[in-house]
Amino acid sequence: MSRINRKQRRGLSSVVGAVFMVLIMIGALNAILLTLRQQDTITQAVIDKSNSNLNKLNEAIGISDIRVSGNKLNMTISNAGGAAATLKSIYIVNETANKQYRYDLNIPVDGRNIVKNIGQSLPITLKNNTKYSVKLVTETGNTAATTITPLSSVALPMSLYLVPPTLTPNENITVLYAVSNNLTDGSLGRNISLNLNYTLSCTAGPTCSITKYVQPPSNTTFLSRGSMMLFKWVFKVNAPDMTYVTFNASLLNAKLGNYAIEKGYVKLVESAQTSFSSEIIINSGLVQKPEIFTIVPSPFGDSSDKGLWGVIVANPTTTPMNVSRVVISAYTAETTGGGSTEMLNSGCSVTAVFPATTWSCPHANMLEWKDTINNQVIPGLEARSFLAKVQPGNPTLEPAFMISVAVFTSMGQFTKTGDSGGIRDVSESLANVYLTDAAGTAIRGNQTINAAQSVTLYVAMADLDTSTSTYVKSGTRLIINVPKGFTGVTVPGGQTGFTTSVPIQYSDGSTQIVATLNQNLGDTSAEIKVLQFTVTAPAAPSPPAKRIYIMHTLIDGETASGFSAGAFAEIVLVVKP
Amino acid sequence: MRNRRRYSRRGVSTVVTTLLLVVATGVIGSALAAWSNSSFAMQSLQISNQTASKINLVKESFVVEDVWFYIKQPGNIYSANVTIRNSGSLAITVAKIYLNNTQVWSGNQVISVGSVVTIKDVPVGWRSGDMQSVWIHTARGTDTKQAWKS
Repeated sequence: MSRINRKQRRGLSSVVGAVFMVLIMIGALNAILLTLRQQDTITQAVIDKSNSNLNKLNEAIGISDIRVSGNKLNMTISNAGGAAATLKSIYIVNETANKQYRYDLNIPVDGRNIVKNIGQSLPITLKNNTKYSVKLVTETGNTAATTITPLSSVALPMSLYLVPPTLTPNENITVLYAVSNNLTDGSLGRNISLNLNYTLSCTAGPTCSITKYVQPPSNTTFLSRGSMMLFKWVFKVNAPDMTYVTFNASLLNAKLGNYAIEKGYVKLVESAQTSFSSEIIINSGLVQKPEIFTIVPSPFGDSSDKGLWGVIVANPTTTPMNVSRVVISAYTAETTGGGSTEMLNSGCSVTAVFPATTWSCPHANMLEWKDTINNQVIPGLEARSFLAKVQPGNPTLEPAFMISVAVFTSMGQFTKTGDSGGIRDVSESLANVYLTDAAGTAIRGNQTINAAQSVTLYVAMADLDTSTSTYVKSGTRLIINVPKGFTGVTVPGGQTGFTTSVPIQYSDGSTQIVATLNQNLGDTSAEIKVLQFTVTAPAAPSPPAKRIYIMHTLIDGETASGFSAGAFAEIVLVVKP
Repeated sequence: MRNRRRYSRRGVSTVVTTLLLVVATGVIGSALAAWSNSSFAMQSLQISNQTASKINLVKESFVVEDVWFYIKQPGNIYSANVTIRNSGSLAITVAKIYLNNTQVWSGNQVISVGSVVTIKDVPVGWRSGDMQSVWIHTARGTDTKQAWKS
């Protein structure tokens, strides 16, 4: 019986122990699982924190612009980062009074975006001439700070330039005023206002005045940090010789001593280099001197008749110019001495055209007009022609003798060289080209026309030699180079003596008229053919002023003897407003 | 008779012994199971508390928006206003403020979530233009140390 019982109890303790073991293991497992869950929670919290910190790093707010509009702060905030930022606080410190103001904000700024007009609704009123510092704080703690520096507390780099620094009376002077904002941080906050003062060293009056023509579009503007602005004025200075014009440029409410001063000098130039004729003359630039143009016959005989010589003096300045003497000299490469080198004989036969008197040939190869008492006065921006018909000398063959023209004026003596004409030692034509009228009776070297108006011009092509055996051959061309700026060039067809073609328009704006002789010129007696054409003058500049243009006119062909016909005239056209 | 009696008492001690062993095993096992479960529960509670504390510490976030140094009048007392924003998801309690590693303020300034509090008139010794190390310590143990120009 006991053996049986012992067998029945065998393993009971193991079962009981196993039960307890299971209970203990369940408890331990619960603890382990709880620990794992807690660890997971911590990990999640750390991830959240890391994301938050990453977002903070991805914010990149900056104050792109700050200024004061209507005494209120006006900022543009940029966020260059990828994460959106929320502006939560703004701190404004009055650095002058050492007082701080703080305001709550709640303005989101998306990533890579800007928000404008921040600060306009704040209750603070910003004072002038007060330095402020401004700081913005985002929700994540990022900040952006800048300052507003009043103009009165900073010396801005500024420069003044006068163009030209030396000018002639009645000439324009351009004033350039450059201001830089070299603040390393912050902004000026408010607009800058220009302040330009100018004075003349002469006593104010009709001959001492300065007139402003051009000024900046606005007197006030905003000058951003790190930028430079250039302002331009144009003045007309009407002042006597040796007058100083002083310009003082600054900014309204600028720091004491922050200004720029430059002086211009009004000066007449007493002498200058010789210059060649130019296509267009627009005022005188820096040199006050006449421009010299010529009318030259070619061939200039040999003939018992007279060829036309002319000197046109243009005054490109605005002040009158007195001319007391005009000298035309002719030269040849042949050894001097003897009648064979005289294109003009001493005491030559002269018929004055204009001025009507005091023309002469004081010695061989020299034609002169002189009147030192009653000078010819050329008003400002006008021209005057000195014209005379002269009998040629008796040289050997000279296909291209040199010509120089000297003009004695109240602004000095000026000489032009470089032109040439042809002459032959036996009977030859007296070919000429010049400005005339519809009838072909007038002889002119210049003409005044109204700006932007259509005008008909007449150019004469002449053989002034009366011999029937000398003439300019049919087929010779009359070429007129109409200066650029003139438009609507029209040449009527069917003109007597000429075959015309459509004017040629060049890319520089000039136009060329070519008319071909369709019959011999001067084979019956002295003969003149007139070519007429119509042009529209250029518009007047602003401010209105006269302008002087040169119309080159020439003959290209040959005479009956096969001698080159190359007469030319530099015709001056004065366009008045 | 004597033999019959002897036979009738045979095995009692074994039963008793067995009973004693079973009881002892049950008692000891129960005690061990109870102790272990209690221990595990206590450990779990500790772990939970520590975890909650650490999570709160992690979730605690604040920003020192500004430190404004000034001279308080009257008395020419060099002071500072410390403005703190609670940018986390839990209310925080600012416990201590140190300036250049010297405690200059202590208290229990509670800052609710998303709000800003300025702790004013903190007495600090400062000189204009110097850099000041400002150290904020919360009750949970979060520290923030920043340098500010006075």
